[in-house]
Amino acid sequence: MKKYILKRLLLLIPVLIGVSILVFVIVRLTPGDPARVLAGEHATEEYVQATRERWGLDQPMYMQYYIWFKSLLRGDLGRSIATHSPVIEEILNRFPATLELSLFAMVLAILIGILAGIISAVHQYSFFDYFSMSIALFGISMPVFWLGLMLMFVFGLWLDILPISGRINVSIPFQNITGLYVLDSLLTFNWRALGSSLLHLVLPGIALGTIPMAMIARITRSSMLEVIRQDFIRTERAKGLPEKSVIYKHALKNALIPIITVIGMEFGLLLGGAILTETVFAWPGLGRYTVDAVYARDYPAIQGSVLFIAFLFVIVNLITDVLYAYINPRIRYR
Amino acid sequence: MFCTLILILASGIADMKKQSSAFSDFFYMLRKNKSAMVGLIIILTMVIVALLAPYLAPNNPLQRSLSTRLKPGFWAGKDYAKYPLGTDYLGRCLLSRIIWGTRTSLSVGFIAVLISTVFGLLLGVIGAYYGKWIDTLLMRIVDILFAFPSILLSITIMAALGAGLEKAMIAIGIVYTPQMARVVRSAVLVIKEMDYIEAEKALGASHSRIIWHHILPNALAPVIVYSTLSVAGAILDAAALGFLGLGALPPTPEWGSMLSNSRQFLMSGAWWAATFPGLAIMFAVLGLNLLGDGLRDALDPRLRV
Repeated sequence: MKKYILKRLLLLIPVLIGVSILVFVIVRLTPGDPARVLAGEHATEEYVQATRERWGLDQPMYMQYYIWFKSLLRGDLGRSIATHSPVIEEILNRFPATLELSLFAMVLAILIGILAGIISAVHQYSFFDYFSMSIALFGISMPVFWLGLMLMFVFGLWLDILPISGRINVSIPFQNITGLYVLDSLLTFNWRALGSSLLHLVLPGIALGTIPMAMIARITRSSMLEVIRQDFIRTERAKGLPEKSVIYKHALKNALIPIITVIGMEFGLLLGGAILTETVFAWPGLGRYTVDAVYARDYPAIQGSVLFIAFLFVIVNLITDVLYAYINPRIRYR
Repeated sequence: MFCTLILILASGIADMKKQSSAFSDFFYMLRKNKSAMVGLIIILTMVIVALLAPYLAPNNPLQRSLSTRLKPGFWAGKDYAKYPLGTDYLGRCLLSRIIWGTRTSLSVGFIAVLISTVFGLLLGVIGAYYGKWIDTLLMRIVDILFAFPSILLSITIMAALGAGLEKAMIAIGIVYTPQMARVVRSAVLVIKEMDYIEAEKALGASHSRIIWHHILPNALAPVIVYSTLSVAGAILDAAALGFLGLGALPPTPEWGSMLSNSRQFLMSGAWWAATFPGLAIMFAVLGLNLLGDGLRDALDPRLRV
């Protein structure tokens, strides 16, 4: 197992270098003089020239990449054109918001998805089965941002019971420690802040969690259907084990491999969905930061946030593969 | 020489026979699959709507009018029949824009997937057939493209290219290529080891003949399944780009950008302007998903999850 993880980690290095080259090239393909963009619209000719030299933009492309990559290795992603602060700081400030939203969405998706999948499988062709599987089918066909808008309209405006933007009611005194508001309010026993931050999570969480929920429900159903037809389940029933323990303990355990694979895959895909969800709900996370950077043509910020998200994505996928190898040892020896 | 010719002819006829029965099997399987038929009907309806847009749309989709801004549709009473689904923030007929938007979204979806299928086939076949370092190189490139969530990669490419419908097609086409290349590659890797390919080689067939006549036709099933499902994804991604203002430029009717334009008016109660374009996206994607699942069951049951 250790060998497998080490091998996968080593394989990660060329991929990440490739990713950095790709991001560098895409951003450099942008028409226009990068030095002028970096220096700002109203900069003097001398200042543009100075900027060009400072960032090595007068040198050949591969040297520029080398310079950029060297600072990348030191964790320096450059400074944002819009705010002039280091991009890495801005990213790290916003990352907890995205993490909190993704975790909330995923917990929601796993709990409801697995439960709905099990009930659908156990009562195959029942009303509940058709109902939840139709919802799942609509769920994977819906645009995240549209679902978000509809939730905003129904629960925020029409019923007026849930907040539709931001992370917390700003009038509540609140101490930021980790950046995960739910955790921070728990740590400081701040119940009002806890309630407010949880309420703010509900709508974006549902919007972001619906696709993974639908996928998990579908895979749980089909995986469970396969398992509960097997002989050992019949044997356990024959032994007189209570039905609950047959289903939730023995069957679920054996159906878990494809479910965990899908959960891992969906966790990675959440990062993409977060970009859209955060835009809809004005959620101050990494996704919204990336979109704002694109609007502002803030190239260092685009480069930095895209690299950071790709890095997270690769890591999540790696963890999924390792977990998969752990529960399914056949994979390791391939 | 003569013998070879007869052999090839015979194998050709056998091939055709086998294929025709495979095709009728396939249509039979597809007809039996109710949800796939529903998907097919949804998609055919959308294609017809797209083709007949000029005749079906009740109004000019670009016609603005200040006096008809954000008017509700048929549910508000008979007086509103001129704009059945209401109007948007510039007073344009929502139904007409959605009908014309079918053209935009379907063409983005199909063309983007066409791009990815052509390149995916090229990369997948070359990699799997020739193997060795070419394969390794191509698969490493694919790995790199896989390191991005699809929407993030298309946003990044759009950031460099600038907004626009054609550019969105290219961006999404690039984003969907690696997965297609992998699908093709794994199919070709299996086919390449088959006995009939060995036989062709022994008969002295050229690489191009083997690839065009034997490998491609047999690799088609997973390609058809995957490209159908990809069109669904491509339509969603194109709508997302439109929603972010990076897709179709105004005033082109496009579902995603219609949604984003209506966003700020949603909170003042004009729910229709954001609801209906989203429903259109959902039905297009739903139809393609149903059809894709059905095709998978009919063509390649092993791919079933």
